[in-house]
Amino acid sequence: MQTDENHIPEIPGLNRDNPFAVPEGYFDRFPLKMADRIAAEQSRFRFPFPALLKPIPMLATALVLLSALVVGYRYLNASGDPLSEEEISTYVYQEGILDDFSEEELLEYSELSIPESDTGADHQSSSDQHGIQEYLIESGIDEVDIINEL
Amino acid sequence: MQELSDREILDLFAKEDSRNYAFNLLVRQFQQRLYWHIRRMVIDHDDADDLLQNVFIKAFHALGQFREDSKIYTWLYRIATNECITFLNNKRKRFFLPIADVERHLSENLQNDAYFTGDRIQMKLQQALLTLPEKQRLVFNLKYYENMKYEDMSEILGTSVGALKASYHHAVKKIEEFMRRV
Repeated sequence: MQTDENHIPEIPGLNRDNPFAVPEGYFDRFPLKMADRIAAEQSRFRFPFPALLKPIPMLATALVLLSALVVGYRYLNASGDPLSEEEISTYVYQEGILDDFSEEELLEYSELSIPESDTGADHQSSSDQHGIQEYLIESGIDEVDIINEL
Repeated sequence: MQELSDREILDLFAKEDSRNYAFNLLVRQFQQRLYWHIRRMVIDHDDADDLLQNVFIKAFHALGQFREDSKIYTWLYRIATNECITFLNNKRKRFFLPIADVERHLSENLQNDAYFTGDRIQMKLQQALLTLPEKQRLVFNLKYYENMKYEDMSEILGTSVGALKASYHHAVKKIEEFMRRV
């Protein structure tokens, strides 16, 4: 294979002259054009973010903090809400908490926590006793024993 | 114009107060060689002008990190060559054109180019060149018009000297064939 560096295509009349041209004064103006572009590049480099985009990271941070505040407030508020009576009793029965206490303790607690005037417990308790008494008499238990026990 | 050595340019460029001066000297020193290299690849003057500016902008940003593994001139040629290849590839992608159509498009540009001053045979040679694969066209241009050493070409194109010689040889054969035929 011929790899002679000086080998040129064998075409009559062909020379190595440059067949292209440029606008007049192009190479005189080009360094000035480049100097302008470099100056523009350098100023862009000094302010990598356009002025309008600069506040965006700050705004985003502020927005995140604000959202965290709102979410945190709502969370704390939600966990601080008192439970309703219905929710408490559902919870107590579902968890079997009552099994841990004796009947006396429960009675004592209910007497302490519920004012008698509010509930009419006095009346309720005497009517209950009366009902129990009747039931026991009907069952054939001696009335004297029943009075002593109650 | 006084030509500076690579070291002189790099030393001037390293100092902030002489950076722009150094770069201006670099542009003046290499603008013509790089322009013609690009122009022969993309044919159109405006495209060549845009690409030449891009080459120097890239060089400006990278010159501070230039490690003298190669000469500045082969480094600049490498940037210019990559710019040309990217430009031609983008042209293909933008217009969904096969390779041959891009070369046909460049050939039409050539015929309508106000800044083409060559004669009929030179026009024919340019048309023949546009039928070559990109790499062969690069090698032919660098050897034929710029008489560049294969060693420098090897640094620019990242191809072995032997492969470049073979490439040039194939290019010459194809051009001769084209000129005889057309």
